[in-house]
Amino acid sequence: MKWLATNLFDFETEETLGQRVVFYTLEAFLVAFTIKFCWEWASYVQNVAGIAYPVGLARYIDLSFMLQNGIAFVNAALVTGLCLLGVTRKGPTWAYLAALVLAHVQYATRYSFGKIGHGSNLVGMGLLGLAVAMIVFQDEQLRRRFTMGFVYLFTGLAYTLAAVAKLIGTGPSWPSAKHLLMWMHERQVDVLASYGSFEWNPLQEIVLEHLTLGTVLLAFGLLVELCGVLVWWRKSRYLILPLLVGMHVGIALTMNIYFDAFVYELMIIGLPWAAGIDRLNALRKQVRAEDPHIRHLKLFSSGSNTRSKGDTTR
Amino acid sequence: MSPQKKSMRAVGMVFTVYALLCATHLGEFWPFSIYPMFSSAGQPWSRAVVTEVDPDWSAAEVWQNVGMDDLLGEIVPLEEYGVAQKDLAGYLQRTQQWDDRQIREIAALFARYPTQDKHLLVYKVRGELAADDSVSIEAIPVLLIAGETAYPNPDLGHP
Repeated sequence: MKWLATNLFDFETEETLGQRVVFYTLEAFLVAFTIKFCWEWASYVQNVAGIAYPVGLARYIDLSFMLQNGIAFVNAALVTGLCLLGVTRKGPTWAYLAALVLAHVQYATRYSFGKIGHGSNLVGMGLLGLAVAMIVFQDEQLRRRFTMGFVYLFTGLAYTLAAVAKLIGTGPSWPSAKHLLMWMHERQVDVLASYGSFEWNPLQEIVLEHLTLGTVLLAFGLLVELCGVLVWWRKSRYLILPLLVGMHVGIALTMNIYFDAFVYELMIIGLPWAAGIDRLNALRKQVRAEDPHIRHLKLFSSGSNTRSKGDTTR
Repeated sequence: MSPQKKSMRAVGMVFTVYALLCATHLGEFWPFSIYPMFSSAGQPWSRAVVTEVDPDWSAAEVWQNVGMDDLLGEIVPLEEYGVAQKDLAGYLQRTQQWDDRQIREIAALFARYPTQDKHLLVYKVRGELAADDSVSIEAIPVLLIAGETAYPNPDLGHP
């Protein structure tokens, strides 16, 4: 398991500026979207009259007291406050964990009506990673490393689990184009019902004309999902994560289903931002070392003698 | 204890909790999930569409199963009124018999819709693969919402 811990958490190597920037971007994203979801769910349950089909903690606690009054908004405010305590490191180490529990209550209240939503699961798992990091570690660098590793671990697991669920639920015929046809018509009804109108986009029209393309797209998506655990290895991480983003783009174009939060999180953790930032930082240091009189780094040279207004460099 | 050991122990505990909660809650205990979306491919699906209908239409006209091109009245864009279509669809799919509580819960969803002069007709839309691998779609009227009350389709069961 040492190889797994090394690939995920990388405690042995020194943390770079780029890695810190990526972590803080991820933390800001997780906090912002947790707060966003909780307020959206609070607004929605103002028009929900009953806990019809309880999920999560709603199966054990009657959460109907959260409906059609301001209590869900109070809960959202509590989650907001706890998240802010967590992100500023001013509050107790359990602030993020408490926020997660209250966010679960908010989720259970919102989704105990008819349909379970999955658009917030990755954000919730990321918040759990932060919660565990704050409790288990006191050193900030260890907390950052642990959170990133946790997010890689459970993100990769999520996609592989999804692929396995498909193979168990349907079998190897899952990528058949007629299945995509079914989902496309299902989503057609969804969009029509939600917005009052619907038109096939160019890619959907091509798929309807050439069903083989549908099979290819589904097979690609299934294969990429199955390879989700390859995120656990540093060498394959920045190949699989962008492919997963591509898969979500394909889902959006063919089925009008938008996993926005998933895509944003994948883009934060899955593109080589840290390496890019570190390279720029190294370049900046190199230039300053070569000419300590240079105050501003000129990244682009036009090759002309023109200078932009306010530019005081020589 | 080294940070690596601490991490693996913490992750191990989370895995255990994850597995236990998913195993005992039909695969869903937010934020834990087995992500079963799209796992049952090719199976019939059920969605919901709501239209605005004239109160003068007869019962025979209202309670007729139709295709998507023959829906009675104009489609109501649910997003404009804060109604999540998937919620409505899920509720309709799970509800076999309509009692006063269920009628009240559905009617409450449309609190933001001005229904003084118009009625809302809630369709359950069912799609399935036909023999020629095309998709056959049928809209079944389930509920007629008139102001703060609602009338279920008399052909679909009401205690």
